[in-house]
Order: sequence, then C-alpha cells, then structure tokens
Amino acid sequence: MECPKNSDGAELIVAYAAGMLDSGDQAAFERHLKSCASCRQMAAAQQAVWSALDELSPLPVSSNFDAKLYQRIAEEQQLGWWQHGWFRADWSWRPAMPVAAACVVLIIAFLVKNSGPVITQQEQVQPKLQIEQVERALDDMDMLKQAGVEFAFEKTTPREQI
Amino acid sequence: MRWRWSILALCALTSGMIFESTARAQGRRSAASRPPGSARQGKGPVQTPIEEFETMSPAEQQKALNRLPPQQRQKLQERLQRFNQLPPEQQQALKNLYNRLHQLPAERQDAVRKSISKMSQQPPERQQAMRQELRSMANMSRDERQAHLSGPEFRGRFNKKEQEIVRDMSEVLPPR
Repeated sequence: MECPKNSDGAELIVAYAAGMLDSGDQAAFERHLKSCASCRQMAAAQQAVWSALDELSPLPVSSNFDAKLYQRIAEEQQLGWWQHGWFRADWSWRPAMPVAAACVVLIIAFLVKNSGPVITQQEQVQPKLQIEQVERALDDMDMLKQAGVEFAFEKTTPREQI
Repeated sequence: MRWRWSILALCALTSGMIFESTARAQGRRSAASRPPGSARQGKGPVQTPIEEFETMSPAEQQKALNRLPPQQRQKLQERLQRFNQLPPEQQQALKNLYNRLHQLPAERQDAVRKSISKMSQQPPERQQAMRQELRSMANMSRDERQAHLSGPEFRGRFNKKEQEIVRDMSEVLPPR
C-alpha cells in the first residue's frame, strides 16, 4: 500500500480513526501502519481526538429552552435602533477599546503635527510684511503729500501716539 | 460598565483636545489676517509698512523685493529713495497722516482718497482755499470742527463739492 501521506492520506487516516473504513481497506491500512511510524503517529493522534470527543457530554437543556429563545428573538426585533448597540447592558464594550485607543493615538498625532507654537504678543505685534503693503503705503503717502496737509502734524511731537 | 466609563472619558478628553486645537488655530488665523499695525492700535507708536521695511535686515529687504518683477522692484526702490530724501519732519508728518488715515474704517479711507483726488482736479486757487481751511481746522477740537463744518461761514465760502472734500479730508487731521 502506498503511504497515505503521499496522496490523499488525511481522509483515509480520519476515516480509519472514525472506524468508517471497510474491512479490506482497514486491514490494508493496518498492515501499512506496522511499517510506517509517521502514519502510526498521525492515526494515534486522530484516535485521541475521537476519544476526547466521545467523552464530551452535552449540556442539559431546560424544558422551555425553545420558548425562551423565540421570546428573546421577538424582543430583539421590537427594540429601537438606538437600543441595539450602545445602551444595551449586555453589550460588550471590550472590542471597542482597541478602536478607541487607535483613534486617540491618531488624534494626538494629528494635534502634535498641526499645533504650532501659540501666537505670542510679539508675533501679533510684528506680522510678516508683504512688499505690496510697502507699495500701497507709498501710494497713500504720495496722495497725502499731494493733498498738502502735512502741516497738520508739523508742530506736533515727532511721533503721534495712536 | 467600567469599560463604558473609560470610553466616555476618552471621548471627552479627545473632544477637549480637538476644541482646544481649533481655538488655537483660529487664533493663529485671525492674527495672520490682521493688517500690519492693526494689532498695535492703542499700544503706543504705530509703524507704517515703510518703517517696518526699513527695520528689516538688508537680506530680508532683498528677499522681499525679489518677489517683485524687476521693473516693479526698481520703481519701488526709487520711490523709497525719494521718500527717504524728504526732510525728516515731512517724512514724519506723512507717516502720521498715513496712520490717521488707516485708523479710519475702510469706507471712510476710500472717501478720503476720493476727496483728495477730487481736490487735485479743482482750480489751484480753490485748492489753496481748501488747504487754508484745513490748516485753520487743525487747531480746533473735534467738537469745534463739527460746529465749524456745519456753520454758515464755512458753507458760504465753499460750494457743496468743496464742503464734502474738506469734510472728508478733515478726518485725517489729528485731534486737538
């Protein structure tokens, strides 16, 4: 017999452990097991799984289980959308924690990246001068000179306090 | 339940941080949008853009000038040179007038500019009469000016157009 591991052996080993092989195949596989340590090991592991499953006993179900289940389904269908998520007492918040933590990290990173130094009084006092402002100031001063009203300030203090 | 309170606290914290950041950004934006000099109103001497330019280092001045096309740059440099060649007291008087003008609301500034332009289109003797009127008003208090402008003597000496010119231009005169 060819080693099952070289072909579709897993199914054969599972079927053997489950006792589902016919007598011919079972005898052939058992002959192979005597000479193949690897298959022997896999078959033993599979049989251990079956044994463990056989030992499991189902949990007892209450006599009115079906009635309670259908009642709960009906109640769920009657709840408003706002009661389905955030305010349910049995709703688990645990999965939301990693999401919330990730959001906080992203927001902090955004704030750190975008928050420059707070504008100080000095910075407010000396905004960056645009050269066009100088041109406009010269335009205004030419116009005021043309008006010929500089006399209004000629006898005042050197710099008027505004 | 503990998880629920933790998440609500985290939400409150992040909301606070976002609010604080937004307020700070708005502060920066409003400070940046203010025209030069406006932040200093009421806090001592006001610098004109020309004075601000002159306080810049030569490298900064050159960098600012380099933003203009060559012809415009040369013209501006010549205008600055001409301004600096004026007598210091005249320079200072013009700077003070400029600051007075820029203390006015934008629409009044425009009205003053238009009136100066209109005055230049009047006959020389009328221009001289209006300047003389403004000179006499320069020594008056604010209330006296108001009374003078609405008085019969003023109305008798100037036509409506001239009255408007003098009224608008009187707004740049310093208060006495």
